[in-house]
Amino acid sequence: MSDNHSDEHAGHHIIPLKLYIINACIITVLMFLTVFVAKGMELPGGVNGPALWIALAIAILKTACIMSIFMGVYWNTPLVRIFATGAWVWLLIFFAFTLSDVMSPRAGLGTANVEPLPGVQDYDHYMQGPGAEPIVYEKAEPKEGSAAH
Amino acid sequence: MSDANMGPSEPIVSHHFKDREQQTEASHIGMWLFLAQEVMFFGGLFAAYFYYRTLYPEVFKDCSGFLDYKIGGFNTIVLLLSSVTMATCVYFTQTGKWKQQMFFLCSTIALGFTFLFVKYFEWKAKWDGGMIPHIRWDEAMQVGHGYQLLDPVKGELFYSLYFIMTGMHAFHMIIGFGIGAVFIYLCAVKKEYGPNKYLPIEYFGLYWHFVDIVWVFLFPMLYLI
Repeated sequence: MSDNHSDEHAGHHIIPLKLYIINACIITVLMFLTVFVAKGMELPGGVNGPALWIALAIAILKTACIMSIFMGVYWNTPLVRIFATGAWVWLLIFFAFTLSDVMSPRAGLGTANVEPLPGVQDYDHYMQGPGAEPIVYEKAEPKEGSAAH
Repeated sequence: MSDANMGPSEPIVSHHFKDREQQTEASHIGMWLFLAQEVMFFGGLFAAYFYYRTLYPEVFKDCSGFLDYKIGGFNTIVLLLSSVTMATCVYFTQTGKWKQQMFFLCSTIALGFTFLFVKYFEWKAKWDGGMIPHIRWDEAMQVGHGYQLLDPVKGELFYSLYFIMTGMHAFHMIIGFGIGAVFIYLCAVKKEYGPNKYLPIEYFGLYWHFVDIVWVFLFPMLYLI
């Protein structure tokens, strides 16, 4: 077996060891950066401020490093790359639909200074469980001039 | 120098594949499909976390403050190191070096045990402080151990998610040991893997890296933000 670290082996790429070390160093630096941003800096914006989004962005970047180098997605066939990235695209769609529910101002939940829609109870009321008044969804008033079919 | 006795002398290609490349790609897709469903599995837990964090951001931030981020950071480095040793193990299998292959496989398993060992002490501290939702959730005990929660009712929600998410992650590591420590190790010790047969080790490595990725998200979500 050759010691040439970047040779192809029966159509499969052998990833150089040096690349693993560089990748691990990058991920370690990113980890310390996350800790520094979250604990060492006093960023404005409170609990939903930039520290939250920076931490999540760094986590996504670290995942990209692990997947492309350690898991070898970068050198894999296009079909494998589609499957590898497809799972994360699915996850993003899932998060978008879930959070569009709770973060929407129309929901009146989880958003400061937004009154719930008339007839829609807040989340804490909903969590009171059996015995609590049922959630009432008011029917929209039909517009003038529109005919019922 | 490579070890000539490692793995089969010729690549084994099953009769229903045209060649080795096609066989490798087909098995790669199978493994990635498995990992995709793992993403969906953990995705549900992460969605639950984000949902409730959006509802109660102050409570989640408060509860997160009672988890030691230095211990979480240490465990992150341990898992990252285990990812490096696993990738290196795959490299030495592909290049036919048995001693190095065994050394890095054992290192990966040892680092995995280190992670779980640290996790055990973290969970035990929470058990002693009455912070186990539904099983041992005791406000008097919490105050006695210095856990002054902003809202103990909603705090229970955070800790439910914490134990379910870290518990499922640890469960996946234990399964990893089942495959790694028992099956892969026993085969590797008999020199069954080599340049012509390395996919089982590579797939164990993919699984291990996936477990690392899950922790990459768990650490900031639970310990930092």
